[in-house]
Amino acid sequence: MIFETLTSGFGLFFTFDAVAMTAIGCFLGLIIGVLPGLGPLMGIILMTPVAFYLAPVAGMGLLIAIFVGGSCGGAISAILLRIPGTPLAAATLFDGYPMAQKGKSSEAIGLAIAASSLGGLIGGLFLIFLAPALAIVALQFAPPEYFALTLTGLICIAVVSQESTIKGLMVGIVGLMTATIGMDQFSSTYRFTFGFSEMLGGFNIVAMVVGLFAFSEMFMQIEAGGLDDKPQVRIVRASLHAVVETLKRWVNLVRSSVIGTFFGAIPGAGGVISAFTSYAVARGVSRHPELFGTGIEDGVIATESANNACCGGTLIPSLALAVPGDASSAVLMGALILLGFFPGPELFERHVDIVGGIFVAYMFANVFLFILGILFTPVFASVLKLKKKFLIPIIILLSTIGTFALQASQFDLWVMLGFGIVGYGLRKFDYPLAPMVIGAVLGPICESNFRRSLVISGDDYGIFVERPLAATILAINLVLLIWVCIPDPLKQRARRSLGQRFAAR
Amino acid sequence: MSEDRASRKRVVGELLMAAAFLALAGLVFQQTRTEFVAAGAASGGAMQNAAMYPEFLAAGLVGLALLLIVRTLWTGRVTVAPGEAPALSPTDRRRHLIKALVCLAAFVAYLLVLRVVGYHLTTPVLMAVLYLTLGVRNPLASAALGIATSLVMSAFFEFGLNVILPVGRFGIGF
Repeated sequence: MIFETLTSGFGLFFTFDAVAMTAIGCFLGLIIGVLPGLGPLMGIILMTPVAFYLAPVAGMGLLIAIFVGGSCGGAISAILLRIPGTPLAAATLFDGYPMAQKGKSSEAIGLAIAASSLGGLIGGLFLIFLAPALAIVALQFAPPEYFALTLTGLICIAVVSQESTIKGLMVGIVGLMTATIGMDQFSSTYRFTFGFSEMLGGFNIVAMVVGLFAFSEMFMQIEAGGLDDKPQVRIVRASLHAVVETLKRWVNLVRSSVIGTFFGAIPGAGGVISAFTSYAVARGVSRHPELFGTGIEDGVIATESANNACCGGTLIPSLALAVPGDASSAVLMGALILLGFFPGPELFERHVDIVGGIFVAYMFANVFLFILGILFTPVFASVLKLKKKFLIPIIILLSTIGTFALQASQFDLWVMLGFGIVGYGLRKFDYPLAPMVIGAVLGPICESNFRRSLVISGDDYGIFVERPLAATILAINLVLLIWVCIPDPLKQRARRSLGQRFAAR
Repeated sequence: MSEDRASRKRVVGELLMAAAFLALAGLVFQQTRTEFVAAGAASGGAMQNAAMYPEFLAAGLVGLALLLIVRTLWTGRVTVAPGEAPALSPTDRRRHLIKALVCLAAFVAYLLVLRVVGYHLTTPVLMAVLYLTLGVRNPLASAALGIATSLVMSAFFEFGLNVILPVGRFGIGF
């Protein structure tokens, strides 16, 4: 079945459009990842309107490649400037920057790219073998199980929110609420439209997400100042020899990739936790743990292979169960839905070719990551010199036209601006934004399965506890919610011991 | 003393945000108890009752907001996200905030006139204002960059993706 999935995907991927878009996506992802404050999520959001106009596999190839490239690009600025381009690269600077200080910038960047690419390929293998298997299991799921799973996805994201779990849950609920605006599919009633005809179809998810993340980020960047700062960056080339060095450390590479894939597959965990965890494990099992943090190859390989393998991991529950692993995969899911394909086990049954195309696109994105990363490192390093006063207006314009292009709707632009202001306000008061996106994407799935379950049971709420699988998932959700009740200082102590112990230098 | 004041301000801000969430939940209940009832969609089983699910969500939101309020009042402290805030003087902070507000105002004005005037006349102006506000000191350079950026973007979307951007009353477009 796996062979069949892949071969049917080859036909869709090996077209000029799909291959070109995947390569372009990887290139853009690397650039976006290099620039501090953007990150792969921003890149996916900005390019979703473009993907909408492409064939499904070409569009998804573009976005997935941005995801892959963006997850690696942050390492370049972490190594050269000690500023991670994305939070994913925060652990990479522990050994990447010291390597650069020793005059080994080329080797460090080469290691980061090689480890990311190989880690991503290992994550891809898990994706190809596990996602279909999980989809087969999910075929046994009925509406009660799906409802319980959507709650799990939402709760996990909130629970691991760096800010506050309660705040994460609140924002997640608001995300679910936004999905109720418009026509109710069951009763055909219009809900929360306040007499505006533009709201009959609800808020456009892309407009929401672009406003929430891109616009709020631009406001924050302007407020933070430094718009004229020009970082002093030495332009270097990545070392090809680093590939050999990465392969020599194959045990670390494979172990870190497995850790990354595992955390990627858990909704809410994500690349940051996987990078820190694999670094901690690599240091723990090393014969010379005292060398970690002084600029050794194993440190860079552990973090970069994990955070890129995570990309493959997050796609497993996203594609098989329609439960996003993180905000980036939630937006990818949203893009897939926009293109007319609904993630979940039915995708594997009815659109095997699309699934295969996505798998092949993901694998080739990692191959392009290696080729483009090694070839164009000087270009990515020079992008770091771009001043914010030029970058911010460009991003604002790209966001605006991209959002408008979806439905040629002026209303979408107002939605984008409105959510930009909401996002800015939430961030100022330390509310996480990711749960709102996940709530908005999961909202329709959550409500429809909830109500469908009640229709099946004749409005008997017992259906959620009478079915063993649904009851088990809800019990897990309850345990996670109880975690909310644990005082924050205790939770923060646990997080600090994992991350900040290595950051104190 | 100033740290105390800052802490109190944060607590007040936190409570106001929680109140905003409560207000949102209140709005949901107001709608479900009025508009939905009028539409006959606030009672019955899962199939007919369009108000059930939003009310569950609103109830959850109320519970969490109250929990947050109680916790904030009990501890007198606010949970702050980890990460470094930029070290800015009050003058710099005010200056940058004004820049952000100017950019916001420019963007709102842009949205108000976009449909009427069209993309190709409004966007270069918006971009020039943004560049000028954010630090490109030379007005001519800002104008040139504004025109160039808006042309490149429109070429990409209009020729590359066949998107039709607003032409406005003057009918200007590719």
